[in-house]
Amino acid sequence: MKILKKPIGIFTISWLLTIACDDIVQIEIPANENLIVVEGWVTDLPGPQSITITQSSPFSSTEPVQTIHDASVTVYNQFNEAHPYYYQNKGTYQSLPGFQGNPNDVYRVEIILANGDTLLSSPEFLIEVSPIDSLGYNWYLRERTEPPRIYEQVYYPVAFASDPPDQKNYYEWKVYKNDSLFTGIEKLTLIDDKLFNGNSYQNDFRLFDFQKKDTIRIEIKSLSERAFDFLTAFKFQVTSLGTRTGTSPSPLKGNLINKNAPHIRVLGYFGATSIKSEETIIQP
Amino acid sequence: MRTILLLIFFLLFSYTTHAQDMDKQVRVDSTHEYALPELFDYLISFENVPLVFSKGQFANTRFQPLRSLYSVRGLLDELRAINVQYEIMYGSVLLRNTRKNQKAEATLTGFVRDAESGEALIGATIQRKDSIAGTSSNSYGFYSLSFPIGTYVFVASYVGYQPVEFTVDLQSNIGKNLLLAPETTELEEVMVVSRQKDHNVSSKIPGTHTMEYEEKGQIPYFLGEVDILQESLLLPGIRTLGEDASGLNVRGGDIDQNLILLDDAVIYNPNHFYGLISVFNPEAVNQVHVLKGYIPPVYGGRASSVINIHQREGNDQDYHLSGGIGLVSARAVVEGPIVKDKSSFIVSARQSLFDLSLNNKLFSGITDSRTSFHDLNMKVNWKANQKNTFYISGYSGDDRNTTAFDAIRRWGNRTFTTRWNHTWNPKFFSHVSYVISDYNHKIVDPVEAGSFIGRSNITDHALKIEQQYHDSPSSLLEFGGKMTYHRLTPGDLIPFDTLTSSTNPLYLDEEHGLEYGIYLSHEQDFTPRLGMHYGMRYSGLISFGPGNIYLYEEGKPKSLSTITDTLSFGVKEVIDRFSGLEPRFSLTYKTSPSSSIKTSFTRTFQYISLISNTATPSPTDIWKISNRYLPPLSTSHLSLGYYLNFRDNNWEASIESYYKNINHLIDYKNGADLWFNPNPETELIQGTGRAYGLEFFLQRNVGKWKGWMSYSLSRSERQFDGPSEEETINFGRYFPDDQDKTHDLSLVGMYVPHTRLHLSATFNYSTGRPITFPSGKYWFQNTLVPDFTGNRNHYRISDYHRLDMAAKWQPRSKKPAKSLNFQQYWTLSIYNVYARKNAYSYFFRQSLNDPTQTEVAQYSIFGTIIPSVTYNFRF
Repeated sequence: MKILKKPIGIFTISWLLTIACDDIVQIEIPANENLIVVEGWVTDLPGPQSITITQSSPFSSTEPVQTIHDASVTVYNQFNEAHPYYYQNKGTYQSLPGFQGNPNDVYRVEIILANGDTLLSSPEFLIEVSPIDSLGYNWYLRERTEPPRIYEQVYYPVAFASDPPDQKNYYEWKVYKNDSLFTGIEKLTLIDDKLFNGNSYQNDFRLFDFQKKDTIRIEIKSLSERAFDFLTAFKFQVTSLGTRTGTSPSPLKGNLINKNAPHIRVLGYFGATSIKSEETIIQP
Repeated sequence: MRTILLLIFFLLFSYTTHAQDMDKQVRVDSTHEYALPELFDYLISFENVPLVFSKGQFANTRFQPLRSLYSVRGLLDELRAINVQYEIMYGSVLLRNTRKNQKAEATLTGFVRDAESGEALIGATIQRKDSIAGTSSNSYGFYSLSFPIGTYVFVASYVGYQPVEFTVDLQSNIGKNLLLAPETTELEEVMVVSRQKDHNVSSKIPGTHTMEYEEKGQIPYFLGEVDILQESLLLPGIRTLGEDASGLNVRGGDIDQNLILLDDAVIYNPNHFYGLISVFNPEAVNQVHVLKGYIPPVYGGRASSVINIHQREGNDQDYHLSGGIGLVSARAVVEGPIVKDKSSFIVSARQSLFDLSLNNKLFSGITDSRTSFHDLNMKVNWKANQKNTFYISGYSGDDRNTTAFDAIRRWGNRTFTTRWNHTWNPKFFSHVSYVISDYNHKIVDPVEAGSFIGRSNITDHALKIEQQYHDSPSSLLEFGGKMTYHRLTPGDLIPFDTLTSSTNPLYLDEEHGLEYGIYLSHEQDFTPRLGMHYGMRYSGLISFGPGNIYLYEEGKPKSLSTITDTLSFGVKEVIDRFSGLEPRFSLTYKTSPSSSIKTSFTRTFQYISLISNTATPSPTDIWKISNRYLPPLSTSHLSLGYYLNFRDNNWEASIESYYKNINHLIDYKNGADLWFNPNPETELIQGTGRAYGLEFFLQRNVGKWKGWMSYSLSRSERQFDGPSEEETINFGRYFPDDQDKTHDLSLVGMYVPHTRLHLSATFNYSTGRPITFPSGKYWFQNTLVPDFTGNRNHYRISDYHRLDMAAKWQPRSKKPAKSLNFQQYWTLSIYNVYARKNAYSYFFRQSLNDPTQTEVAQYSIFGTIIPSVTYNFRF
């Protein structure tokens, strides 16, 4: 257990160094042509699986997101078995309910747009993810930021899992509180096995706050190296650009191309993932 | 060598001599007995007679004209009587001395020191009275002057000290130490000063600035912390990425291209607190030289600049305690004699007062982070006798950062320097030093998954030998070498708790390298108008095992999937060798006694680089020595400038242009992962850079009003045009560097309305730094993503300007305190007086008010006025 509080002594300097501010400014940002954006995953959970196709827009545009509703979308496995997707709404296409990804299969998507352009993804290997060994929780004391400024118990999930040896593994973790997913880019939790390859390991989710009697649900998702790199760059670019730890901005390189016009970029990512989950209720 | 020089001089500066030139009338002073070099220099400089001669041949010969008006031929004919022969060759008049036995010379040598503290005075002038013949003391205060046997009157002078006039009967070699007393006992001001009154014009090393730190507290500093790196930003050509960015960018160079030396020891990370404060405790610093243009051959190993910091030696007369306290830190210095006049010590320490809290937006991902720092400096010297002086000095400093969940990061420099200065004979001075530089960082992260302890380290052991031969007052020959053994531990990662931690140990290969450099340089006044500093450095690196080198498929970008083989090298087995010649020269031509033109060329090689892909490097970034995939960085730097002093050298002005070419620059692939990466070369791309600009500098040195103005108009660009798309940036075209600022202006004013009150203000203006704008936006996982198409740094953030002010008040001392020679002063600093919200960057983000929309937020680090108070004392 740890108590988080601010010593009185740091007040002066804290004030001095937290006077940074951001102000909204009006600047003219040039606009490029709109590009197709694809987002979709084949999972090993029961279907239907879904893919969303939208368009990018000028940065300063106030128009709603433009969706693509007239594309032909088909997912293939390594045996060229076709799984057509059908348009639902808001740019989302869904497979038949019976379509479920199989671990160790390879999937790719082919999208034919109304103008005849064909978008292809690179094949993605669906790597089976190991189940979560166990799920628990821990807590610490934190001073409330609003009156009454008392110390409160803050709970956070602690998951135990095993990483397979002899291969590089990449994971995304998702945390649900009472069936509500923690959203926001800062909650995107990506981890590789660089430090603990082949070991059982513990993952402390200290940035996710829970209270007594809350239900914790944790999902672990397997990722390919390419998907992991894409999501890492996605998170980094959105959260750290402009800060001193930010890198130079660059295009996020996904895994799709326009077969008819390779010079036109296709944004987004189509991947395959295996998902396992665990649930518990905080009952101290 | 002299013949070669003569020939070069001859070819460069000869012009056609016709018969009528020899009949031209020249005026001389018939009441004055000339030394022949003096007479010849006069004829060249003021009568435009194209004479060519060697000073050494005529050094001991004197001549008094019989009349004041001669034809050139008549005068030279008269000189035949004292064995001067002349010959007209290729349009010039070549002079020779036919006399065999020249008059003997004797040499005057010694050290110039502060009369009160015994500190060496670096760059003090020792000059024959009413003559231009003289020299300057070197970085240990040593001077040497040779003249024909005779009796002379000399004047020793130094800015801020009372000049000393003394007579020497120079019948044989004489040693004489000179003690100069400060002009006033009141607290001196911190300011950029010339080392000698006309140093700006006469120095043969252009692009140099010197900062004195005898007493502190004048110009406004952030949070009142006197900071040499912060002050250097007020000089032309030196800038930083942003208000809190670590490191300096000098004339388009990256921050790892500055050779930062503290008493000969390399400092790898010159910053505390991520760049807000430098590691150099001002109480311990004597003098700082910044070389940003011409780099003399004695220095090597970094591509862009040299920042040479001399620690104080300590008072060898009395014991003193001084110190201060401000909002950020408390400082204390103890100094005094160990054996009076023979040996002294100085110990200084600094400790941050609070755990400084960081703003989370500055450091993305760091939660509730706090940092503290401390440092310790010491130096001991022992003047064994007139010929031998020994020094031991050292530095140790650490930063400690903690986050809310017990993650701890520590990093810091340690240095140890031992030095022996020896005077072999009155003309020959040696300096031998052995230096250890160490930089390490450690991360302790107890939070799963993968709790670990990570550490990395650089340790250098360097042996340096420098020799100075004072051939004559106008000639200084320097030669020597330096050998450095680098041992780099790029990363060890061990489980936090061997019983419970899931982390596997990981040890990246150590790197071993032997970097060497030998040099020869010569500084020569050919005439009173023409001087040159020139030489050559030969440097290299040998890297050796144990270690592995990965081989990659040819024609494909390096990645883990293109590794074809691994070469393993045993202990001391050579892995790679690099070497190169580094020619350097600087030519100074005095267009008048108060103005000069200088041009210089500097070529450098750099064999160790900082690997960092973040906007400003982190203290945990690693350094890497050159290998076949990371060739030595090289630069060629050309400068041309005009220097002018006026009103009795009280005003200095200069305009300098430069062009710099940089080869083997590194950048990083998109999404590069450098953290504990055993194959960092797979993440690097290589390119070239160029920087060019004009710099103006105007300074007033004396009076109630002092200060300076610096302005630079510059461009700094780089190009990465690799063989594949992932090794190319901006379609292979040149693009502005991150720190490129077209206009950069600094105004510094200091006013002393009262002997105990000093007021000062600084104003900065610069063009906003380059930035990349998104060309569009899209949504992915319900998050807005700005889309960048690759036109890097095509736009700029808004311009930067800021006014700072400071007042220093020295209260009247009460009588009891006076008896202790107690001095104290208060400094009030106001940073960002008009609370300008200067842009550090822009955030292109989802609107906070309407998440379906976008907005551009200008991020300011210090968006308000920041006052601070410091108290300083000395007794």
